[in-house]
Amino acid sequence: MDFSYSEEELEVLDLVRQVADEQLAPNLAAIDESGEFSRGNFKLLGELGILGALFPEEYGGTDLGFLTYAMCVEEVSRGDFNTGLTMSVHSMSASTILKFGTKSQKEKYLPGAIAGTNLLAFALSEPDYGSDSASIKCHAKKVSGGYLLNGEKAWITNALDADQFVLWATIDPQLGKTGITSFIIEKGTKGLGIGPNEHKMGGGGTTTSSLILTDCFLPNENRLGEEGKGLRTALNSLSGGRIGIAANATGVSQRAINEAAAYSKKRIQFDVPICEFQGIQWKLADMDTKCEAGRLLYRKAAYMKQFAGNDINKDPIKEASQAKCYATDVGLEICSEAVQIFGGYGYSREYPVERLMRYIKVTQIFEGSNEIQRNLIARELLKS
Amino acid sequence: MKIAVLIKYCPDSEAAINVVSGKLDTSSAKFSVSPYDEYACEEALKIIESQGSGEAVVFNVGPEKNGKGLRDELARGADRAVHIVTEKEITCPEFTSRLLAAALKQENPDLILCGWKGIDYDLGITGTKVAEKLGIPHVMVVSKLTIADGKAICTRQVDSGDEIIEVPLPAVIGAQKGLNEPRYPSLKGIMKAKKKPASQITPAQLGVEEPTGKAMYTGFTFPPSKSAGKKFEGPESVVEVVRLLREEAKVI
Repeated sequence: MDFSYSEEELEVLDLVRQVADEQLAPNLAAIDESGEFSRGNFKLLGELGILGALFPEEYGGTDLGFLTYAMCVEEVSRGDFNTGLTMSVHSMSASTILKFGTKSQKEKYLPGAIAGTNLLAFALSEPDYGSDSASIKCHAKKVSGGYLLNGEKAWITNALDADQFVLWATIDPQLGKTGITSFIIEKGTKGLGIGPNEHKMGGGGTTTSSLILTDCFLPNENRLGEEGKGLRTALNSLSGGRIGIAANATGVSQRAINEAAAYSKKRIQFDVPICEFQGIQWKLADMDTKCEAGRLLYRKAAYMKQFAGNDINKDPIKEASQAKCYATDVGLEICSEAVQIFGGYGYSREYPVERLMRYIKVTQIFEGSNEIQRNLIARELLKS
Repeated sequence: MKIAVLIKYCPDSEAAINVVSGKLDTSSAKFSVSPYDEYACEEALKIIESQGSGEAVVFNVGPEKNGKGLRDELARGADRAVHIVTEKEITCPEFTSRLLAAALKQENPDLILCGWKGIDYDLGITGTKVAEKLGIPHVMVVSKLTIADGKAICTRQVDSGDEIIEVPLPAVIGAQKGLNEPRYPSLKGIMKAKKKPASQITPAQLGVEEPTGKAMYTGFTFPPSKSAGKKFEGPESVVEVVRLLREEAKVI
């Protein structure tokens, strides 16, 4: 691994860091309270070209590669967890179109996705099938000229705000894995219903709802990739998504460390700042070491993902799961310790760290629960 | 319209500056383009955008590392950079303005924009000196600018209201805070910046020598640290406080 970043990469990161500090971080408390998705933050990332890191120039991207992309997700998430999460899920959905879409699908959806004018969501989970994604039941019945979709999708990030969904369904539930097919579905398509926003522990900033498909007709041109190859598409996208979530959690962890370290220097007890107590120092030291380890794991996975390119066989499945699982597990520990360092103030919504702790919990659950990640890691390591 | 933008690359406003044996130590400071010069560059970009065409050329005098400041402005959208490379940082505004004037003569811009002062030495004189050497008018501390019919209409905020000043172009205009809100560079801008034309020239190539008999910085010191205050307790201390206010502090 060569982690000597180019001058250009460092300048890009400097910009993203500055935008996170000046434009995202100051509004986080208000966004959290409002419970609404911040379209403005998403558009800002598009305008500055930050959403284009994974995409070729012909669609308006900058093609900076997966490592720089993931580092940008970390910086954005340090400013605002929600915007970082949106960036990760949106990029994962858009790169599914980039990898498996036809030329006309790419031309239709990618420029807007990169410019931040249309938001994509990823619809794989169902109420009864989350981790067991090979068993999904949403049915895409073949009909003349296309497919008729019936079923339900659950826990869809940004469902209420998305302009398009990348959605998985089976052409025949009897076929199991080999029936799963992916589709692109536009908001407002007849037969596509969107459920109410879930009230989540993490509060506002992104919406989460279910999709209800009732005799929803999709023409053949909306099928993404080949029939029956959908699970492969989903899994390849998910490994990228997991690296994104690891970067997302690392950004939140870093924010928690920064907040706790700054507070420990100004909070005076027994006539000295509490950072002079070894008990606090050791907490901060452990928090920082764990955060750095998670960062190295996601950067290694991102580096491998970048070099795997379009070769699905080189997809860093184990490394992506390790990064996701580790960075999010330590993320909750780090945020919890940050709350502890703030004491009573840490538990108050007036201060920033309780929010980080609420947000980070979900990173252990979504994009494949950490239990599933451990299964994947074990499966990969026992393979040979 | 060809617009020249003069920028200074100096320690960031939040950088920690040390003084070591009477000399400034900026070795650990982060450098960035002086904020007033960022307003100047933004204004140039806005004028060009509103006119639909034009060229913004950024100028800097200073050591090799200042190239980063020029590149930052290219990333924001300036078209070309001219770097007058010196071995060391030039702290003499007379020298800086002679160099800039010589380089500007080769370019013949229609308008010259700069920050009204740099945030490092706070002199606020280089722009004025450049105008003097080029024999053109200048208006400094400008918070609103309109370009029309070969003229610059400038607004300066004063305590009791606004002054409106009109000058024929070319002229040197010094930007004040409030002129605009500088944009962020975009990722594409950062990537394009390296490919944009950037020339380097030396003082010798411009035929400019360092002036002699000039004012020079000979030392820097921090203000003396405040001594600890005195504490008085209880009503019985009032007599003593009054005595000290009269005899020691001499304020009553």
